[in-house]
Amino acid sequence: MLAAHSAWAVWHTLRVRFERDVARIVFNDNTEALEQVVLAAGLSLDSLRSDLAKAPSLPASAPYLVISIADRRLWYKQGDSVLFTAPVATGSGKHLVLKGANKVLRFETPRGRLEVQRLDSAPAWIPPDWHYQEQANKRRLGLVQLVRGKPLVLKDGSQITVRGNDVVRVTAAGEVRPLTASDGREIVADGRIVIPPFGTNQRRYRDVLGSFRLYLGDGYGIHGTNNPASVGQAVSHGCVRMRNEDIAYLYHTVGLGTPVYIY
Amino acid sequence: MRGRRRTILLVLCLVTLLGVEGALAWRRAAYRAETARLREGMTELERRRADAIVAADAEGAQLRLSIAQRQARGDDALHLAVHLDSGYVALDRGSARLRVMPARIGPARRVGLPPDTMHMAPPLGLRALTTVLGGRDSLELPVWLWADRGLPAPAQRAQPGWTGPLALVTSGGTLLYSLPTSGPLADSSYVMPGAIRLEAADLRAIRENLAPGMRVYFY
Repeated sequence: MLAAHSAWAVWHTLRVRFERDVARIVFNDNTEALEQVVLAAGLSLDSLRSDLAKAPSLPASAPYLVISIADRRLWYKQGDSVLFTAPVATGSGKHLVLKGANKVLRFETPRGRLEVQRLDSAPAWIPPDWHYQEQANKRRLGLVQLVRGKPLVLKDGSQITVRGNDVVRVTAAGEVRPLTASDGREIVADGRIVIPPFGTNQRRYRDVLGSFRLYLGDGYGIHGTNNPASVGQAVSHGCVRMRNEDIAYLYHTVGLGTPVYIY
Repeated sequence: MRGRRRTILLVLCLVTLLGVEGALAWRRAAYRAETARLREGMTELERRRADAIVAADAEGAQLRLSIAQRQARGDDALHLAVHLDSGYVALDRGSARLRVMPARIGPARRVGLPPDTMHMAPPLGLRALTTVLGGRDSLELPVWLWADRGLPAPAQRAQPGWTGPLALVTSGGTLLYSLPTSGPLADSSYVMPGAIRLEAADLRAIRENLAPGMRVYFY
């Protein structure tokens, strides 16, 4: 406090000295110095006022979301005020080399300005193809793509095929049994992970994204989780993961079009 | 013993500050007395002229501050805003405040040894980020820094890490640094005149967002 007061005292003294200097110059009618002081003091105030008029006016204070990747935390703010804050999980930063595509995926949360494009309740996760490759790598299994209308014939004579919206197993005896799939428990047949076609129930994981999602575009979103212990860590594939109670608050509070700043 | 030394140091600091305040108050009284004497000898027109200049100077400073603030708040690209009076640096984008980082602002004062002296103060207005320095990078520090710290200047004035784990340099040479573990700036009680010191953790948190050319507003 004393240091702040000292700084103020210095500034105030300089101000008083400036007044003395001006008085001296005016009293002595020192035309040259007077011109300089007038210029420096901004008797060109008109140009400054015009600059101020041209400068953009301060925008209205709409609420926005801020996510710090380093701190793994989200803030819901309005102006400088924090309305809500909670921990999050962010991208792991790991790499995945896509076989055959000569492409490397990096699981990072994107930095920049995004926007809440959609608010989803009970969102399902439609795993992309790389998810199956990641699982296959992890479990040292092969990979096979299931195509509608082209059954996979297995070694035991049974078949895996699509009936309606379900991936089913048809035994040699003709018995039909729908298969189940979830994150980490994909369909495995003859040592290969089966990639179900889009649009089947086996390609929809219902519990992975928790209760709500704020969709941000390009496959990214802020969503809940079925693994709350992971919140606070760098473990996701790029999405921002929150505890279900926190995402529920945002789902009921944040409006469509709300800017999301990730840094 | 340690506690006693700290108390003595604190008392010395207080006495010094009070001494400086006293000297400043005395100077202000002298300036005011001289101003009053000069004004007595002026015509009414001259007095009004002097008042107009002083008022214009104050208004000009206020206008410059407002322009810088509006420009910073209207800047839709990611930028840094250095609030010299409030002692913090903000990572802003448009009117959104992404991060507020407490900062220690280096004092404005005359540095160097006569006759080679200069006035160092944090700048005002718009600058651009020119360099981002990591802990292994080195930056040649000005020779006056050692004189300011009462140390002899070494032949080699640049060593890796002397500006802390992360540091930024803006156009015009203003340094925004973090506390280093070695070198002339490795003193938590000292901030280089005209420079800004931030927490290393804050600089690390925004590191990936910093790139040369990024705008830095000082106001």
